[in-house]
Amino acid sequence: MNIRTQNLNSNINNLQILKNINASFNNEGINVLIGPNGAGKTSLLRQVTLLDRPTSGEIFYEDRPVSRMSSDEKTLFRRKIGFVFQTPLMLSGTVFDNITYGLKIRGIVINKNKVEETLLKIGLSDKSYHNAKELSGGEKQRLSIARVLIIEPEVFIFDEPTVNLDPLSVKTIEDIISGLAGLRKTIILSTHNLRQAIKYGSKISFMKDGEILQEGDFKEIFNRPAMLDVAEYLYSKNIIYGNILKEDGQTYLIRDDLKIVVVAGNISGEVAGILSPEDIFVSKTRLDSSARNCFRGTIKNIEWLGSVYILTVCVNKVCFETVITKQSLISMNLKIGDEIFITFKATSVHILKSPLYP
Amino acid sequence: MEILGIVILSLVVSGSATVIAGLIGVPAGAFIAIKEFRFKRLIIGFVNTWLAFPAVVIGLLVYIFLSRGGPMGILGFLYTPYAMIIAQSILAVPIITALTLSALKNIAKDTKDIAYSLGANRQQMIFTILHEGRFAFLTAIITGFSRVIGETGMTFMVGGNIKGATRVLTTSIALETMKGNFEIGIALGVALIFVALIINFILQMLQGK
Repeated sequence: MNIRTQNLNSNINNLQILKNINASFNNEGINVLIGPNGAGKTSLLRQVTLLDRPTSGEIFYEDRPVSRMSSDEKTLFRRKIGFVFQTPLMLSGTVFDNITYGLKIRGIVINKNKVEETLLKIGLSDKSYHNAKELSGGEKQRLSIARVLIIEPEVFIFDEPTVNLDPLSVKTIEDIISGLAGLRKTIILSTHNLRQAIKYGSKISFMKDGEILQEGDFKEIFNRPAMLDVAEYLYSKNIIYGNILKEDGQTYLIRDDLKIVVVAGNISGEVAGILSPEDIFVSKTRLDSSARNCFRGTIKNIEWLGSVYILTVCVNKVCFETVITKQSLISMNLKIGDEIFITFKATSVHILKSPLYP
Repeated sequence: MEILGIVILSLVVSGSATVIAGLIGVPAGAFIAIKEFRFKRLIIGFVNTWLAFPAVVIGLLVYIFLSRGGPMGILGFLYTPYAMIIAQSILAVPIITALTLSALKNIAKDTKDIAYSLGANRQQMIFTILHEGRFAFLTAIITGFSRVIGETGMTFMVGGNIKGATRVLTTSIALETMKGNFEIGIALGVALIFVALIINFILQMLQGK
């Protein structure tokens, strides 16, 4: 089933929550909505599911405008959509009562085996007769997904489903989402988690302040953010504000006394250079490589991120964040305060026109 | 067995008043909680203010309405159990409405979201909210009943405390106390306390299920 919005606007108390949203969601890969808190992701999802009414604009289900549907038709379409909220809401009663609610509503005879199977899938098979409101946060969220799974909708909408959950619940939920994608279901996932966006993002829409700023697959969005807002969100640290200088057929990004070789096309003036942490190579000695930029810096911070470390390396006043494995960290014996070289290609720096020059 | 008659009349009058008030207050409270409409906050404010309405003024107004020269005088309800039921209903309606409203207000939005997101139509959504709020309705009704069965002044005014006709527990306690018959007063008081406790206990048992 495909869902489309046309010039969707939403105002609450004179505040524009959604601005002219033209989005379409289909069953070709997971549709990821990414953006900071307050971007309007939840509002958009709620309107698409007809939980809230837009101020203006139209929503289409299978290219049919919702505003021209009778309430019975709307119910019929809504029954093809399963919505998982960010905060799991439980009905009173047992886990069993909750999971069978959608079936009862549809007048479907309850098949106990199927209920068991679904509970097993989400790891709650031993809690069938527990009070749903007394489950842990992660269990509640898994149950709210089971509640949707059992009605086998055509569209699954997950609104930041793994926020604040334990790692086991996160993994269970992510595995379920991956499984659904394989079944060619229409899936819309909102998240502010970059790892999740990269994992699923065959089609990412970046939202901020009620607008969709950029759409594309994750490579496009991550490698070529169209706007500074997108870049600032994706790489908070490696944005270097500066001026473009063209000299001897070479283009440089100048920031303080730092001179970075870049490829800027015909962009000039005040810009921001965006550099993905993965594109920076770290070494103890100056590297002999084709990469045009190599700077000596000082390690200001080492942050452990589970499987990898984030190194903050400052070249005078400009700091770069880079990712390094535990093995490399140990073999190079790196400590805070050490001198180190960072190397990156001219083409790795993505140049955006920037009005800001802080 | 004069006391038994008094106890039964108390139960009938306050029970009927609570049922009538419940039939008005629960749907009204549910409607205000679930439905979005203009002046909703104003209505909620009005209901909450009505809670503070003095019972004796309700007694006065009901008296005026039902007295022979009053607008409803033709019914001849004054000094009958009907008058007491009407006055007690008016007293209980805002209590039951306000308690239903405040209980449902907290669960209405979330329950609406769950029901709609899992495919409920409008009727099913409303039914789900009412189902989720069923304990709140009982609490509201228990509170309403407790309030009216203990009401004295207003019941006295419109019922008249006529022996064998409109004499209920509270009014007879007041009368016996004024007459100096403390023993009978205390006996009736104990009876009133028992009636109130037993009814509350039964309703709470129901709620526990």
